[in-house]
Amino acid sequence: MSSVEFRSVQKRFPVGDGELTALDGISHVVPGDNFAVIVGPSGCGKSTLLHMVAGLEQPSAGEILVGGQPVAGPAPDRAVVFQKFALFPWKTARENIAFGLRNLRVPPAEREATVHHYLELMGLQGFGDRFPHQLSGGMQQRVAIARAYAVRPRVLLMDEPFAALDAQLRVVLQENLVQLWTREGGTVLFITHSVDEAVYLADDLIVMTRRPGRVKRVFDLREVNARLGWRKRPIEDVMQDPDYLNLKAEVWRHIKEELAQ
Amino acid sequence: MNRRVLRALPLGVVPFLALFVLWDLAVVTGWAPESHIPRPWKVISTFFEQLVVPFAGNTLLVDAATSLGRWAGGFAIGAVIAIPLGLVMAWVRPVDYVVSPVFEVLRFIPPLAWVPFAILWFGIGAPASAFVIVTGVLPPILINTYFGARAVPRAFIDAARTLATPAHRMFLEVLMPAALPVIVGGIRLGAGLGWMSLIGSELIAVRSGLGYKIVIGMQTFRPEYVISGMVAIGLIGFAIDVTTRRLEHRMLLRLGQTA
Amino acid sequence: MLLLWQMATAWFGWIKPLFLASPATLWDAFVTSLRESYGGATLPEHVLVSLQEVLAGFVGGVAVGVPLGVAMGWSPTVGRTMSPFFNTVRQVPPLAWVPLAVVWFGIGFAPKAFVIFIAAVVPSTINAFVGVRMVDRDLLNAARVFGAGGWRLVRQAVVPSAAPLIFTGIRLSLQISWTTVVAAELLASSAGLGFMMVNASRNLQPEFIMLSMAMIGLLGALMTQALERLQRRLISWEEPPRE
Repeated sequence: MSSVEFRSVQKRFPVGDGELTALDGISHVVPGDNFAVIVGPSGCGKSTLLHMVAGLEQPSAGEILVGGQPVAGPAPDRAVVFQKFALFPWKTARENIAFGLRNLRVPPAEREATVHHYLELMGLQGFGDRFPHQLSGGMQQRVAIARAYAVRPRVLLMDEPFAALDAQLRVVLQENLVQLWTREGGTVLFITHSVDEAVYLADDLIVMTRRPGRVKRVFDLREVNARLGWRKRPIEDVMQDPDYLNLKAEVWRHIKEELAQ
Repeated sequence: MNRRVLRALPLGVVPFLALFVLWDLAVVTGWAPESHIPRPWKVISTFFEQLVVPFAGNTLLVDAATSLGRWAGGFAIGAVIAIPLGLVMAWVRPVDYVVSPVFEVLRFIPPLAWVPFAILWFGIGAPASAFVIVTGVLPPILINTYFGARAVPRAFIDAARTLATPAHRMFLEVLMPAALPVIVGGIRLGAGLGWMSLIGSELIAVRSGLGYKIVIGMQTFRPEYVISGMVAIGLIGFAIDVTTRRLEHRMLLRLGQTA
Repeated sequence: MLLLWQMATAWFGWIKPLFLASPATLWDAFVTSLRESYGGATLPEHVLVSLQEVLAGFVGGVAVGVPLGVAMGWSPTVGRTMSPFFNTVRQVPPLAWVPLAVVWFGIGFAPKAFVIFIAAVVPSTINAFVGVRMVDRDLLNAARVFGAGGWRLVRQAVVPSAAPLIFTGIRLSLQISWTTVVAAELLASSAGLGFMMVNASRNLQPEFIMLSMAMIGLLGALMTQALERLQRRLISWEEPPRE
């Protein structure tokens, strides 16, 4: 799986008579197979950043490289899981997951197998032939995650994927995601404004400033994570762990600074 | 009547019964002249009689078929023009700029107001009627198609783009299914309006069909024919509405957008 | 656009005068008909005839339709009783009532006013019905808690909440009234704007057809504006609709 490199990325929007600078020089490297989480106050531009990696928007200045190559346009190698799921309501769960595979001309037999694999992995066996509106919010998001993973992206982009779910469901899905990622691996770029979520999930935790967005601080959690075996323990345990709580407090302090200005 | 029967009668029947009773009374007591308002029974019997016995040139069934045929033709033409046009206007900006202003002005003219023009241009007969029907059918379908196509949520398009969707698949499997519910709603409205425009046009511009029949009923001062004609018109209009609604529902089910 | 029109008709003869009139001819027709009689009456007289029919039918239709819709929406019994009847009768297009109206009332003011009335009742009723049904339950409960009951509840809580939709219904009734008057007059009139149209089409004078259309459009627009002003005055608390 690939690395993601930001080189002095800027984004400006024309607004009224003037201009709004959403992102002001982001430079960072996310190594391959890293679960990177970007957290920051609302409006800091984190979604915009993700959209640029996805190729849905272009930087005003600077460049973004995935696996050493500049980003051109949207493509399955940078699959996206959207906040509002964006599942096609007229396709069944199965058809949604298969959609990208069909576009990639994957032969039917292999397609079937892949879809089946991910349905099982996400605990959706038996629901493959349901339409999204027949599935709960949590299940819909799982289908969306399956759809993204199925096309074997080099980077998995997740745009506040659990924000539209209720608090209890969020926690369950966070745990699920960690289990999934431990199995399937890969580079993940995950956006959230929940500090809890960020500290739990991240290898690299990137804190952004408020608009115009810049990288404020990067926390490398790989060591803590591995040492305390967070990814192998139930989430409710981890959330009581003193190291977790301390980290959370520190991250939160950074964000609070940004909010207070 | 015993109480059981009374309670079993649905409330909705009451106004009909009341209508019948008052109607009959009005005629019988002479409050309303029988020449102007025939007794209910006479209307009912005339209705059934007309199904097979010609009046004003054709039986009721034949006239109904003629009217339906005209409606179907006008509806088909209107839909075939409106849907592609709406799609093109939604996705190809220049076309939108050209067509929209013209459409905005023309659409406020009620279909029936086009009748004098239609007669002027096509003379009395089927083409005039078809033209009027199309002016009724076209606007709702065009408007709905246009807005349905424009309103496809960005998220679907973005998601499809990240999944390497080729152009033809984008159109067939993403844009069209997303826009279809609204388009079908427009078709339903267009069907109903088309029927109304048809009847209107038949009152003036043609010499057969249900509209023509009730005009003759009026001219020969035979209200029982007028009323039974109106009933036929209402029945068919109702059938059209119910059928298009069912179709709409089925289509939404098939597209997974309703329970 | 105007230029294109003039060119197409008068200057280059792209469109024969028989089919569409040039703006110049239209203007002429307008000016002449102000003074001289066309088809039996001057333009202002025709306008008056149509206007009277519309007002009569429209006001009558709204006066019957709104209370009916409110009653049907508020009382489930009334709703269940009247709905099938209403939905059945409404299947008959207003124009189909014209011949019957002529049989009953002869030719003149009455049949047209009647048909317009029939047409205008429908949108007012439906929208009032929906408006009442969609009133926020919480709002009603709040009103009840603070002592409003029965009639007062309807008048002071239900109707104001439903007011935006009721006004929409009234506006639709207005539109339909103008649409119907044209059609009704095409059939059964010896004066009025619709009659002008028929006359003009018989005499192959497209400029008069367009003139009447323009007048109708104008009057319709003016009345709609007046209605909107009234709505804004009465419902000053309404937020502009979202989306």
